Amino acid sequence: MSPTYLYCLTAPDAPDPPVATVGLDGGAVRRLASDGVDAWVGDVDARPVQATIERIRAHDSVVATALDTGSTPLPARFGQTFGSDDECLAMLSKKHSRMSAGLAQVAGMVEMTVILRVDLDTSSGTAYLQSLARRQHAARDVSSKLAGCIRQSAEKTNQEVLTLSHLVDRAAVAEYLDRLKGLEVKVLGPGAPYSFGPPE
Amino acid sequence: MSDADEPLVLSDLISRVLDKGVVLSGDVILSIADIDLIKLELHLLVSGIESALHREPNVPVLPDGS
Repeated sequence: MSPTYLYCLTAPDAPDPPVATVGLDGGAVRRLASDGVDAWVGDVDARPVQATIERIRAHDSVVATALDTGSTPLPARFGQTFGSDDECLAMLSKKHSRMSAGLAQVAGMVEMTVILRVDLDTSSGTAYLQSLARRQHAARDVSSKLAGCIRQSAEKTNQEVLTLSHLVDRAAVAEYLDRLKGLEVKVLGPGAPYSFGPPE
Repeated sequence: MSDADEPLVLSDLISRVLDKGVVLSGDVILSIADIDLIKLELHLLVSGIESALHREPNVPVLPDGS
């Protein structure tokens, strides 16, 4: 029996994966129904699944397809495999209430991402702190422009890149984009809510 | 999207898919084999693995092909 690979969780009233959905290594994607939380899964040849750019793109593409059905999924982290569909369902059942709450939290929402890139000036301690302050200022500027337009936010920094993730109502995406016009930022989305799953 | 933004977008995708999203199984196995991926943004990858280990301290991170 082939191992089962997990792409995302969906609400029971969400549509099935379109027949043409292509998963990891060109594999098909199917739905596992359980009580209250369903899963989009596919077969893989072996465990563990090694991370490659191509597979990461394929994983994300399946999650994006789920989002495009109109019902917001909870994306799964890359690389989760189970010995069989039954094993996957057993784990789902164990975490059912948390996953169900997570799905309810993102229902009707999408994730938008703002990437701020401010070159960090390392020529002196003062210059460095000033460039950090500039970046924080830019982040505050984004947040104040978006006030009232976002449901939840998360922030992450990685060297010179600061990433702001926002949970936004599908109906508010146009306004969100409108409010960011003119700012020197990179905006990504709408995408699936990777950053807003249930707390671990 | 300008070409200059492409690495930024790809880095964001990789860190998102490897490091975010719900975990159902206790054995999230991140097995990093592809050399292009490592060349691309090693620090992002490492932060993803660190994060996984932090949340699931008993996760085996397996070497290639095991």
